[in-house]
Amino acid sequence: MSDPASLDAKTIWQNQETEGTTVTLEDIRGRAAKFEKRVRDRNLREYIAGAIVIAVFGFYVWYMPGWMMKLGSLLVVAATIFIVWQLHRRGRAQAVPDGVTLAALLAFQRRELVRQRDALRTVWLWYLLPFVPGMALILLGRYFQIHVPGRPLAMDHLAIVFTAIIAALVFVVILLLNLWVAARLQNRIHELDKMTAE
Amino acid sequence: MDSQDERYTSAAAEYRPALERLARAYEADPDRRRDLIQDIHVALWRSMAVFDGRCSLRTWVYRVAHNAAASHVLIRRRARAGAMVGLEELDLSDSQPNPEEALGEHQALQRLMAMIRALKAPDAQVMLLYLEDLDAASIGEITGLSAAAVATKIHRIKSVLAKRFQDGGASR
Repeated sequence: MSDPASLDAKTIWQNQETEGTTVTLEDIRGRAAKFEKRVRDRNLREYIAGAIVIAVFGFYVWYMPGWMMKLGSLLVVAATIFIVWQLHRRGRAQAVPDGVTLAALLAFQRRELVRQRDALRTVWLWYLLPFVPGMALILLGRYFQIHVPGRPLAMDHLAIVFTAIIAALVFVVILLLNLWVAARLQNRIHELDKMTAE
Repeated sequence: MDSQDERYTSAAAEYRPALERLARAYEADPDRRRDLIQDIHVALWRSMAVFDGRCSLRTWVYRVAHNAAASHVLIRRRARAGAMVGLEELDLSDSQPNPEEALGEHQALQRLMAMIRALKAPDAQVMLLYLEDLDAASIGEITGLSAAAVATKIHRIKSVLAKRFQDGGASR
């Protein structure tokens, strides 16, 4: 390492002026706590949303007339519990390993991105499909067993079909949004590969 | 045994300038660089909870800091169009200084920064460790690269630096 140009590059590098940024232990604890709070809040939002759906459809099991709507509501409750568990299981990022080599860290990050991408790509299977039996049974119950008093049957059926179309569209939008995010994660995987490829 | 805070404080005091230089190499934007420096310190502080002395403190600090910086780059680079290259692909054709015009120290430093930012993460890491004057064995320990791979990369780095700074301010 006695090459003069290299030595001088090293000198220039090591003698460069730095900003002297001060980072106190309070700053560090504050930043770490902020990050942990963000993760905690995100998890809390998921659980609260799940609890609301379970409470509403649990009420329907008791309140709604007709076995189809009762059973449909019960299936929605079961689907929600399943999905919250799936979100908890799939969404939980692995802890970033400390003190590993850069190559090991980048391999770990790639695995995590692939795992998240695959979870989003299969969202139809574990997030949307579980709701289908319950939702379908509720709509069928409305169609065959329960009608709005005073509304012509044909109009009521039309309203139910319209509701079913809206529900299907919401499912399609959720699916497309997840596929879009999965595509963005795929781009990040490409970026990571470009950053690391020999 | 020292507490996590004590281990961190001692490591940060010893390596603070090197960590700042590392952040400068990875991030040009001053605001984002401040963020990166804080991220590096948070990662270092956290890591001190599990540091067990199986490798040297220096190896540990450099690994943690480079990992935090590379993660930062991974997030940031998505917004950038430029592709990163390996040491072998660095284009030297348009960057050699004019022999009649000595490079100023500031300009030489800017060139170094530009080179490092253009490199793929593993090569940038070797280059930075080399500029910090670590020997090949230490670079190998930090990066996990074989001695032969480190030697090849250092050879290439020396050649790149010689070509870029042969007539310029790097020689002052």
